[in-house]
Amino acid sequence: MKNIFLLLVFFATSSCTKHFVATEYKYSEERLNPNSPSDEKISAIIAPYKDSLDKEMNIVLVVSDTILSKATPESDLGNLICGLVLKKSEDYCKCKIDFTFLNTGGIRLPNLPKGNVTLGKAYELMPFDNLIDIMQVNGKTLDTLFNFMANKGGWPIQGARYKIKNKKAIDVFIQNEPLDLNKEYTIAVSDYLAMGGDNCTMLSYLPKTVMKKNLRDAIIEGMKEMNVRGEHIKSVIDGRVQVTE
Amino acid sequence: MKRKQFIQKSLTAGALCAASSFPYEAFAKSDTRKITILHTNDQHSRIEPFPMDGGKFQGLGGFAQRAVLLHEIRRQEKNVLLLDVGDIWQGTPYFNKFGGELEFKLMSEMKYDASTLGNHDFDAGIDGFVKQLPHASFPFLNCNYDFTNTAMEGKIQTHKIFTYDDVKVGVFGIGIELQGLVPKDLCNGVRFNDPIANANKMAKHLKYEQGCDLVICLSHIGYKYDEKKVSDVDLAYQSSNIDLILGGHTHTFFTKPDEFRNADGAKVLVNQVGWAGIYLGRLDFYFEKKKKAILVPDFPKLIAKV
Repeated sequence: MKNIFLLLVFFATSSCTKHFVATEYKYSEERLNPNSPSDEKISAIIAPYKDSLDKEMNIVLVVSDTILSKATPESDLGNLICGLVLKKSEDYCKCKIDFTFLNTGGIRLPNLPKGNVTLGKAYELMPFDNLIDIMQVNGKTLDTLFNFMANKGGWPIQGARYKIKNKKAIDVFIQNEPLDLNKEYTIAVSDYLAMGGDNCTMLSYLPKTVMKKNLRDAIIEGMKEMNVRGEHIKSVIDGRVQVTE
Repeated sequence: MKRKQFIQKSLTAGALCAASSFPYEAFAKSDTRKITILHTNDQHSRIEPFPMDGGKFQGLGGFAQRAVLLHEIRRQEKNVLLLDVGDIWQGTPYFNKFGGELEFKLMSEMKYDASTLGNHDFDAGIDGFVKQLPHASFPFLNCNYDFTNTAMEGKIQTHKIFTYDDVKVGVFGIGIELQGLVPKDLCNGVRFNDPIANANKMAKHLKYEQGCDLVICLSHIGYKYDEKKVSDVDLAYQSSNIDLILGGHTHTFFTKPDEFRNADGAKVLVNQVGWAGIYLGRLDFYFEKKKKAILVPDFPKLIAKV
């Protein structure tokens, strides 16, 4: 009986149970390209910000002979940044650093262009204000770290090399010596990763010495010093991170 | 939701409707509607187009360029909804130097209707975000972060409903687990709750209690992962009552929206437009007045990809 009543209610109100139903859709992507016109009002709002930024950011730090790219497991852009960070970290801590590494996602541009590399470009590569931490880490923890990096498809590194097999790290060498599980190593790492960022949790409870310099400072200063020495940026890929079957 | 339960709910909604809107039916205009949904994600402070320096994305993007496109679309279309899916900030010196002020000003000028929060929108800290909020004329939507006792409390809405010619569009947002992604001192006190459970709760509210005809989830949890980590794909399969998931975080370029069957067997669309404002995503939805009790698993149908 109750069911019949419900049915009656249904028919009585069916003209009113109408709603708008999305029956069809069209999809398009509007790609904004170099020929896209720009809106004057928006440009006018941007202009004072841009002028002030350009004055500060268009300073040339160094010249690059080639375009560098970000990639996994190894990339010339990752190698460049880790190289600069390792060298500057040694200057900051006045100590010997065994290796430094970086998360791939922490490099925020797909390319570093050929030609003049400006201060603005350094900001785009590394926009975060992450400080450099110096840490003493034992070989066992580093074994976890290398496996973690391997599982991520390979993270950029300087001072060490490793191979990736079935998402695990093998043939790990630090300063050309095989990883010793019983040894302590000195590493330089961004405080973001040291605190467990990007799920890199194995370092988070270990003691750290915080440098009052951030990764971007290290990159900027390192590039300026290259320029003073008359060096240009070149592409370096040396097989330090490889995937093997 | 099971189909039987769905029909019962629709009947209840129908009974309510009988009391309130019957007289209006007689004066109803045309039974078809069109709504244009435009979206961006992960703009990352890319105010100007990428410079012409040989880089992968050279010459692409730009806020002033997007504004022209928006003017054109709004000239042609009456019902336009413009949404962003978070990570507005961080990536160029515009953010480092001006703290996100310009991004919010420009999005307000472009008449964004709503955005959600990405992890990088915490990069200036909670206070940094609150400081820039007065520059945003659009609301930030999130229903799975708990901001109680933080400076953001009361400043973030869970959802917003937009009505175009009697078509109700409910929009809400969900965010990614911040722990391990955002330094603790930048998001201290913000508690993360299950995005899928909260999305379903919100979608149910919008569809049945608010009577929305279309429910859109702005999701910054990411499209999909190799590792076990909750994603838009998980959300799509486990969801009820969400019609469209606009994604972000993973910077994924789609060629067209992905279509999934949700927990009820109904269709749910997922889309994302890469990052840096290179593309403006556009979905034109065509609505017809129909009996809602009839669940059509093939709706909406993709009729064209331009």
